[in-house]
Amino acid sequence: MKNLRNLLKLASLKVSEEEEKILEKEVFMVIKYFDQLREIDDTSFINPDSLNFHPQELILREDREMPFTNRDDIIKNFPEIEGDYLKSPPITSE
Amino acid sequence: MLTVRDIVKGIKERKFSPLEILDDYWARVEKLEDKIKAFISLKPYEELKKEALNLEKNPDGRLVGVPIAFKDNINVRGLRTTCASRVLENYKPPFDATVVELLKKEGALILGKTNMDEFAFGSSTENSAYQTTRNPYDLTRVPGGSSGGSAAAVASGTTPLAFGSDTGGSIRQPSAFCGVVGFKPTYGRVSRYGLVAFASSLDQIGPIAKNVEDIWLALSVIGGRDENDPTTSSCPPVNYPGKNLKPLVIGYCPDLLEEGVDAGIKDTFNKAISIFKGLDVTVKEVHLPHIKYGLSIYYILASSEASSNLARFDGLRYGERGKGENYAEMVENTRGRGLGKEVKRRILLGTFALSSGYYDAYYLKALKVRALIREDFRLAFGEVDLILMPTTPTLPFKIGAKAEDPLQMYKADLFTIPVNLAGLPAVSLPLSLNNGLPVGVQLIGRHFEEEQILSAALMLERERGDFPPPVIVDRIKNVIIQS
Amino acid sequence: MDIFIGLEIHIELNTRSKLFCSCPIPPYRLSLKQPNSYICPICTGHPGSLPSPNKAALELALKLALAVKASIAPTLTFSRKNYFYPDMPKNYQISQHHSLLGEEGCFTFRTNHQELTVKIKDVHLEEDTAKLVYPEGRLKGAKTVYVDFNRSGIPLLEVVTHPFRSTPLEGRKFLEEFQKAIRFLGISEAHMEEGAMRVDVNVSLPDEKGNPGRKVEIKNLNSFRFMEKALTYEAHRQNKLLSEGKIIVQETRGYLEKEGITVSQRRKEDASDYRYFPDPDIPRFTLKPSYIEEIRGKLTPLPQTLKNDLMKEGLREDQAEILTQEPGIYAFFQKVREETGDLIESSSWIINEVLSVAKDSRTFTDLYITPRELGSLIMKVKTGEVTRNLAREALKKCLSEKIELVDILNKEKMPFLSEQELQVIIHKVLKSEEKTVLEYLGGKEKSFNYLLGQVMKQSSGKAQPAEISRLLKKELTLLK
Ligand SMILES: [Mg+2]
Ligand SMILES: [Zn+2]
Repeated sequence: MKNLRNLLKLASLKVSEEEEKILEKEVFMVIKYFDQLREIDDTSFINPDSLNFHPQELILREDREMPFTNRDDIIKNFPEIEGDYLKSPPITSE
Repeated sequence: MLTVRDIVKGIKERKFSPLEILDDYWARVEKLEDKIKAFISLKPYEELKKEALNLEKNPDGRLVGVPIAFKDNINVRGLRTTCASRVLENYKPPFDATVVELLKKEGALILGKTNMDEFAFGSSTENSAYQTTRNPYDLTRVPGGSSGGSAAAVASGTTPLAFGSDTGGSIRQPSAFCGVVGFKPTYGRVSRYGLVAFASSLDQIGPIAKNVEDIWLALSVIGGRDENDPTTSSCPPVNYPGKNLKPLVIGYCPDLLEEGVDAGIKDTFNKAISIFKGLDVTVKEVHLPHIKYGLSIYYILASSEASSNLARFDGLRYGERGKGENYAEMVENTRGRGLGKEVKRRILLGTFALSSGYYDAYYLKALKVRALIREDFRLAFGEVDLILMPTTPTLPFKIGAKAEDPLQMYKADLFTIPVNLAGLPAVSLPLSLNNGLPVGVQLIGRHFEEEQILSAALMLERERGDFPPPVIVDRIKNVIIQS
Repeated sequence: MDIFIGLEIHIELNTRSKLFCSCPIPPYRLSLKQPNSYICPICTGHPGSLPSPNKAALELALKLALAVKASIAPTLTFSRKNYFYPDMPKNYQISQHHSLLGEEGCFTFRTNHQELTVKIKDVHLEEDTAKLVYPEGRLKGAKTVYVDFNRSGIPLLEVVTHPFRSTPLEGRKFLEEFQKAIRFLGISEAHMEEGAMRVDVNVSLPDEKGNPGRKVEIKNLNSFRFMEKALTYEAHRQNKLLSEGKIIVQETRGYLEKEGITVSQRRKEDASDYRYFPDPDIPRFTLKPSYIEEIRGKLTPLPQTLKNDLMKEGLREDQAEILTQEPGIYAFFQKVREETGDLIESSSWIINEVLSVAKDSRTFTDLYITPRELGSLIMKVKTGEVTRNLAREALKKCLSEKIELVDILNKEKMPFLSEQELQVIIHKVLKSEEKTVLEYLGGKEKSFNYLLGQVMKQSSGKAQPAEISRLLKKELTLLK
């Protein structure tokens, strides 16, 4: 079984040890509830269409350029900025 | 109180001006908002006044001068979109949601943004990072959720029309709790462009109002194919005024009422059945054998999609950035501090269901069973025109009552979830008061047959008569604030 | 040395707008100068934004999938690849995983006078990431990284090959030929130096049974030369390790251009778990046979096929190679050939005359001559209206000085010298070259050619060689 620490890492969540304990209990309690699905036999249910949760077909977009007019609103949201660049902390810190 | 239709008609006939309407509602906001706490942000009055005066010169829109409110996960340019989360505390979206554009075009006046469960994860609006919204019928109880702010605002009369989003019942359940009408359209009817995604394959924006007619009008404005949302359908719009389509056969599932359903809920449900019978509608049993798995499937699929949809809240491009020596640390801190407990719980559930080694047994299996539920409904709708269900298994509960038990809280959406899984349209209509608390019933229809649902809801509404408005009582001061 | 090479090639497609939004594709140079200028809520991952797939991107991707004879998926579906990285605005990439656009194809080309076929594992569509800029260099201890979203969301075609056994040079040749094919299909310019074509390579040595051994991945090779060098280096490094009885670690390595070596890149702490799942924002698109046939109808032949055809028609391999190097050259050649109906002449004029002068020979876009003009020039030479020499010089002048060919010809083209005028020249030559004349009269036949040449020179191309020869012989007989 995947452990909670593993999931926290994948989801990029930092929590206190106390919070981790509570989450562990609650998350696995719900996962246990999901086990009711095991009683459904899906061996005969190899339906490739099951991935198709949208009944309608995709209508593709025509390839036309339409520049976005409120670009400054996007820039204004950058928490840190240098010139027109968005600033990020370094990828690794050694 | 005026209906939306009355407001539009009155303004067009110059019986009153948009500003008079605005002032009327603004006065109620000022009187009630600090008791109900339905709004996260309100547009400044001066701005609204300017807009109202402009509308007076130009009263063409189908919703001219109608005050409206949006759940705080629907983008309105110029106002914050917080999703009731710390992580988006000062986020200002660079664009209007498609529904916002459509409503503005018809002359609606946006009052502000309403409270909700953080990122729409919850059924009580208690998961807001900012405030707890109260049920106008009993301030010690929850308004339901996650669109609790929108439902409470309409119920208390601070706006005649509000919009929410419904992923597993988030419009219908709070509407039932607050004694108002809430509609969840067919998946693909209304554009999701500009709605902050919770679970993309389930989310749908819908209206909340005091009566069926106003819901009908609102649906006719917000529906339609949108190039910006490829999941929208190009099928014919909801017409207003529309055809009156009296249902011939209505179905119900007796086995659903056996366990965990309050007596008051059952009484109201039976009342609805006898109303229909009295109107010469055939009522018959239908069976939906897989909907008992609905809760599990829903929490697997919705959480999986959410775990991916919410990955973008990392503090890099917008929102509140946490501290960190490097990118990974910054992201972990941003999310660790900025996201609430329920949000974390769902993200972790979804991360689990999608992770390698578990995908087939959880995510994929849930997808397959979802197809079975859709099939259950398809078969049932071969025999009946509509399916009647309670909206909720219980009456509005006390604030804090279920906060500690996620599974109990999840069960509040037992009757609403299957509708989202099948992508169907459904309405919740308040039918009676039980111990002073509203009880709703739910009507579910075939894909894109909103008008059939609305026609039947109108029949129920007519038979019911006026629904008693809340008597807002301040228990601390023990005075009646509004009646 | 024979090694196993497997490639992952990313190609930026030639569309007008991005894959999931209507932002224009930034021109490369402008994009560098104006960061975060070609952006919108969709390609910066704003909440509430949704992807809207581009029709043209699918068409271009299908073209390649069909050109490499891959089997096409019954539906177009997108999946999400989930991981956190600052260049990914949504922290997931919309790619394909559960059903890939094209699977199991092949690509055949000639190298070293023989055919080589590389098996293609799959061809799929995905969105490009944002560009990370390192103001302090990519050093450890750097304090910041800049993010530029201009590139974010550009449609990328990912092509994955099965490992194939070849030399590093052949590996390079494959990529060069593949780039050529992409250009001929009009899918992308595929400039490596602009990042429009990027390649990661897997290298392994054959094990004792001749199967691929443990592989090492080399990331971000941004030129053909570096790719070949990195392959050569890596082959030697692995060979040395094996001969010392050591094992090869399966890892990702980076190529250092200055040093010409590969170095181990830090491995991820735990194996990545991308949690792929079908993107719920995008319904499926059925790839109907009629639609696929429609796209197939738009396919132009691959340069490798065109080259073979030209060889079958009688051109040498090197000539056929040059003419099919670039779509511009080939198109020009084809039109000249149509004008003249002469394969050999058209090919030699283009290869020997045009390409040697044209500076922008790579694309043949701003040549100062049209194929029709060159065709009619060739025809004039063939009919004898213009001498070959004059035509050559006129063409050179036209291309290098950018003067209309017609103007040059009109100015230079005088009527041919009259027999009298030619006789005057011949007399002059016979006088000044007395010594050679005597040699000829003494029986040295070869001297005739020298005299002929002198007369031709003095008549500066305004006389037919046959005519000169006839008159010269006549005059010489008179002297006997
Ligand atoms: Mg890829
Ligand atoms: Zn864009």
